[in-house]
Amino acid sequence: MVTNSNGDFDDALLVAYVDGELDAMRAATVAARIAADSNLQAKADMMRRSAIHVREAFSDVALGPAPARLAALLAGGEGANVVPLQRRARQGWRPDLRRLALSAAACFVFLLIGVGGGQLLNRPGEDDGLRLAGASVGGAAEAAYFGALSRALEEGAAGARVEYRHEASGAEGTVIVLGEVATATLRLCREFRHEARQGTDASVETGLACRSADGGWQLLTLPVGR
Amino acid sequence: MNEAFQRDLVALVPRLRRFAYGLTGSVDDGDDLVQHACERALSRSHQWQPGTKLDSWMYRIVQNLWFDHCRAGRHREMAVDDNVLAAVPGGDLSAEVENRLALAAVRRIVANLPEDQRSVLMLVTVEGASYKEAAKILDVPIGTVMSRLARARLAVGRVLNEEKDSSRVTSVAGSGPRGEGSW
Repeated sequence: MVTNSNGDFDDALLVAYVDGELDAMRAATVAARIAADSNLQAKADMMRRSAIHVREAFSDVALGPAPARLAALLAGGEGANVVPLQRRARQGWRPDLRRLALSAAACFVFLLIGVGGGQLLNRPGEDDGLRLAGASVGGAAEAAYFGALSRALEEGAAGARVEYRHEASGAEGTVIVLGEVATATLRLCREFRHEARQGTDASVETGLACRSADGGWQLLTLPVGR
Repeated sequence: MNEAFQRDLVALVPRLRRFAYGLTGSVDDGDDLVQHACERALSRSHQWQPGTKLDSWMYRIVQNLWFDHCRAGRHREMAVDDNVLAAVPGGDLSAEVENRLALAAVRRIVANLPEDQRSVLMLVTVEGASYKEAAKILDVPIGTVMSRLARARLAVGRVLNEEKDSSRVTSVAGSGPRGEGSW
């Protein structure tokens, strides 16, 4: 069973070889085939690389502290607030992997906010072609958002929440600090979550804030779907 | 309640949350799923046989709940907001930020794999289950685990390759030389 019905080398066997799941004899057969075929070699490399990236991506993920109701359930069982599994409404949107890759590579915002009151040191203007990810906070409400974000980041502890509300536009939201992120450069970085609401619109984004040399924060945000 | 069982379950929670996050593509949905799974596990703890692997049993509960949930027609659609910009001001996007972004992009690729491929990928590649364990948890033949895993790994690899190409196009002037091969 080295080739499938199309006469192509069996990908299933190849991935099992890459993962070290084959017995010695079959592994030797596959190794010999790979050595003789540069396409197979490239495919095996791709399988190996994708495993490394996926593993790294999920070991890196900052889920924040476990929800209180889960902690309560596991601590005692009785009296825990049981919430049924419920799906949030989602927009119907068929993922297109190629477009997704492009947008994922491209979708970030990079801003500088100052310490104390979230004064903007370097705010992208309209003519930069810059917009805030999620587009949920705009105009005057931005100042309220950055104020809340700045306070949350300064407070720092995982789980810290700061709410904001901009009366004139009805925009409001919550910033939650998810935790500290270890970096190679010893810069202080914190991961946060921003939940924004305006009327019936809601959006969520996660972001990374790193302390900049001037004492402000450099921000990077990624929408996480709505 | 069996204290050892509860203690072991608590110790498993971080891994279960990561697994559920991978399945659902969302921290909140993942935590709802884990909550549900823990409730079920606690109510059926008498069914668990000491000496067998609690992690496999729990992964199976999580996976089954998720599968039922999807089959009930409340199938998820990842809403990916691509209405965002492609430019970076100033251009001092530091390497660690870039790296974090890359990792988030990988998670998003995984979130958009077909359901069955995603479970296998999460179990084997992230959670470290053997093919045999994964087959047991998912209740499918080992050959199915292999072929789903092969498809998932190739799909992720292809997107990563495309992204590597396209990131040169979308990278922003002024950021100086960027390290190749971080991908």
